[in-house]
Amino acid sequence: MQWQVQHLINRGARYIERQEFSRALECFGKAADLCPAAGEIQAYLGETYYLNREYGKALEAFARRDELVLQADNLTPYVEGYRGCILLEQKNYHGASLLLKKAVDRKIKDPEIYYNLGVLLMMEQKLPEAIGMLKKIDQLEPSFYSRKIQKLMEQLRRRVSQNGRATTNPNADSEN
Amino acid sequence: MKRVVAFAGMKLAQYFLSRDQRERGIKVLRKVANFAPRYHYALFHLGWREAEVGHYDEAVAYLKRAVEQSPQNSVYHSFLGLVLCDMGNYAEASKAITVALKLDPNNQLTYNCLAICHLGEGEFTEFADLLEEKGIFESADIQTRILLGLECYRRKHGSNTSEVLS
Repeated sequence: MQWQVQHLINRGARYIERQEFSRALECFGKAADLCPAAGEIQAYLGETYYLNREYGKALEAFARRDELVLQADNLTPYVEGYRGCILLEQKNYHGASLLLKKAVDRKIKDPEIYYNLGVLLMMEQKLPEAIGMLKKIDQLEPSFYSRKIQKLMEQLRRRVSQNGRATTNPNADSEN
Repeated sequence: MKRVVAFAGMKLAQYFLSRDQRERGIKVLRKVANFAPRYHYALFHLGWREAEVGHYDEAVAYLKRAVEQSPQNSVYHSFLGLVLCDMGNYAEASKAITVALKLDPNNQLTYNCLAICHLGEGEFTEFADLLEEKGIFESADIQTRILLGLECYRRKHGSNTSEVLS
């Protein structure tokens, strides 16, 4: 089948040289049917649609190509997971939920992403599921819990002591 | 003889639980608890497993029965306190944990449960001081609850996003 696809791509390229865009589209279309996961073919389709002035279809083809390239990239679920972590901090809980669950479904090995999904589950009042999600981290990185606890406690101690100073000397800013 | 059968049932339940067959494990534990209603070990484990799946009322009922059967066992009181913390019932949790501390004043697990209770009630300084003094108990059950409690506290008391993202 590989040679068939290559043959169709070569024919399509020749049609483009001859400015016969409709025929080129037929060839690339058949190639895409035979090999739907090939981002390269979607790129050729997009280019040909553009040359044929079918801009909407060109954009669709390029979008399909981007999706295929991203799916094939091993880092994509991690990037999506971290996007989800950022959305969680920005209080976009729906967006965070979609991305974090997608990342975890792809069985990634990043404890931070499991942690953030656990926090989100806690905020959704699903405590048993939240604890279950956090417990998965133990197998990925046993030192994660203690490191995270220390970091959170340092942050909160700083904030508590800052709030304490503000309470005892509320006129500090005006004096300065 | 009854105890032997109950013990064998416990082992079977643990076998299922170790293979992530939680529902089967809980089913066997319930049968053991019905068969040997005074077997506090089974009652305790059943209570804890019910809490793990969010059946908090059942969990508290079984843990209380375990405590009734073995009132000198500080661990049972501590875990009862922990489940009550999960439910947000900090007043009752505090009572259970106080009993546990009287029974065993040197139990790090119990102090961690008390710290979690403080954190749930918004008493961060008491929580932090207690953990610094007594250390963090090496258990995923405890450490995950500490982490979630800290996150809940951080978000309730106004998170500074720039601080968090740095």
